[in-house]
Amino acid sequence: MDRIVRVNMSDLTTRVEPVPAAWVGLGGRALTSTVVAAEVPPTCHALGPNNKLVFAPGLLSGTAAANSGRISCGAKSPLTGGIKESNAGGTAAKMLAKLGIAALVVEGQPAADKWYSVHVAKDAITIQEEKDTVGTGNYCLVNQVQARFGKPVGVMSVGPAGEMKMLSANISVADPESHIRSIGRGGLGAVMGSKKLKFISIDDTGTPPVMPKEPAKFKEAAKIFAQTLLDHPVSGQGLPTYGTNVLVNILHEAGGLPTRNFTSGQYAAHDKISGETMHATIVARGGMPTHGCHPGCQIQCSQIYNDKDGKYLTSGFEYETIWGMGADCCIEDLDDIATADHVMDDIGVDSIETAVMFGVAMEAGVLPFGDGKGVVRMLTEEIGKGTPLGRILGGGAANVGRVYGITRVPVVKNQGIPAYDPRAVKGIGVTYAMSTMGADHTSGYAVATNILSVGGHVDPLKKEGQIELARNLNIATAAIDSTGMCLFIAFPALDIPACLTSLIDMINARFGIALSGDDVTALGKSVLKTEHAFNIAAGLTREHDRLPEFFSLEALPPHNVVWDITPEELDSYWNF
Amino acid sequence: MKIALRLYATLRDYLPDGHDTGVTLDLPDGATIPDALAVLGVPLALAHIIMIQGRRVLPPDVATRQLVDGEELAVFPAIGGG
Ligand code: SF4
Repeated sequence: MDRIVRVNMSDLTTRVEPVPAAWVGLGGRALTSTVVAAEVPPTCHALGPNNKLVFAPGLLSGTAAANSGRISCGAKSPLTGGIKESNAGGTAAKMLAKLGIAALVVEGQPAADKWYSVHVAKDAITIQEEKDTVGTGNYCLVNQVQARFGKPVGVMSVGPAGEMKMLSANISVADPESHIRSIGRGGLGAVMGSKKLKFISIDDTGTPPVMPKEPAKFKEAAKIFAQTLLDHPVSGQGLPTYGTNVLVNILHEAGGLPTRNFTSGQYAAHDKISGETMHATIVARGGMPTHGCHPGCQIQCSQIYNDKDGKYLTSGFEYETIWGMGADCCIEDLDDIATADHVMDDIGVDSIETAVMFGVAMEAGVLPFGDGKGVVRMLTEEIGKGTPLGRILGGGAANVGRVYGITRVPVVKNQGIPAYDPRAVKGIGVTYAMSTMGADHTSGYAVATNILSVGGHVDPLKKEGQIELARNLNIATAAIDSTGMCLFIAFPALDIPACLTSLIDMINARFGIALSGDDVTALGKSVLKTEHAFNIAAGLTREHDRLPEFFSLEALPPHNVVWDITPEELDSYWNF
Repeated sequence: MKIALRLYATLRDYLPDGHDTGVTLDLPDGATIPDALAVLGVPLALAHIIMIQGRRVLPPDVATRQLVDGEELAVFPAIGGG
């Protein structure tokens, strides 16, 4: 991975450069955030010509390392106004890595009102004008693009929501079955749409497998690493069997399952939408309860969910989506939620932002709580078609709250709060407040230690120890996000020392270097500091590192807890 | 006394026929969590996360905490997500 590919959408040219010395040894989030911080003016308009969209495979992507195929995407976020990195599975990371591309940087903006695609192959990077594909949903688009090339090329695309530059728009990444994974958060699809880029196709034909500098050492470390994933009960058994949606019931029991737009911590119909029910439904309908989102995923938390007639309905059906449409919007029918998930992937909107938004819209009376069919209709007919109401809804939870005068709007830095109520799971509340990404559970998953007894236990209802927990997890996650590893390797990494040491051994053998554990921690810290400096320069002050006021005013049943971590305590997060 | 025992994920294999999510147990006063699990034959080693009334019970209290009439006991194996 020694090349940076630049695609200039202003003059429709492409350029290939060697990786500059300062960026050698960076991958994934470390690289996207470094490039954005170095080259994007923090005060630029996120949808203007000065923003850049950066795609980077991780340090280990393309190798035989288990779970190493995540692709990172970064830019200034039009939703949060700060820096953004979001990552997904699919086949793109592996293909870019095999092509020797450390990062693909999309710059500028075309003057003409025309749409384009970019094709990346071994010998050429080309830009084409697009006509037929404009307005197409992601599912159909992936098939069209792969048919055009006559092979399963990698595809990263925007749906209609991205074309319309909606703040909830995501970027889709085709998976090995030509289904959809999502670079979900922060409105990166709107940035891609602002550059009039409908899709990027990737063909890795003719490229050799990625060879580590020290193959024998790499093989040995990869074996140990894979074994630790198998040995840990969460990555070895829990996630493959039930997927992430197993969390519905435990968050309900712990009183931290945000329900009815964050007015309760328990959902009476939790069993109808639970991972256990979903697993039984998938098996009964001939779907696949266990499935990987990218080649080489060993944990396989994904699944294929069929409809009542046994036909494919959706995949990658995650806890956060099911929580949001289920408990938060009170939709009890898992098939309605699965249909909504399919439509969200197709039109290209973030399922977390959209579900949180619908919770706020239901409180505003736009549609009743529990109206699953209404949600599907609004996704298809309003948001997907860009009607005036659809534009408002597609602007996300904060936007809908402002338009309808709602005060209970669960967002931080304008980004919707996912799936874990910060009053009853206080560690994740610290992550929501402090993350450089806006409210994002994946940037420091304190739920693991607050609720799941991974990495020890810190009482979720008390504030003691939460700042330190969230800080350490955010630092570790920034490093993991740079490797191309799926974050779920954190479960074994928190409990089994050999997991982390073998991960570092793989990186060292891959590049012929000698990183220590301390170096990896230092990398995580430097990524966070780079991102934080960008956010401050973009105008995000410490007052933006706060939860919405209602969390301190309204006690959450059943534990009747409020958010009580003070601003001064939160600010101490940055003392490192 | 009566307590509600709810089992989740793979632990549901220990539920008697006709019970999908949990059972009500009639236990002698002073019964503990291991006593309740023993009724259904759930191995204590698989009871990774234990809550009473939505609050975690951690070792060493797991062995000694006496159940109280009307309490709800929820038990999970090792699970994760995110
Ligand atoms: S564990 Fe799940 S999210 Fe992670 S790489 Fe595998 S399928 Fe994707």
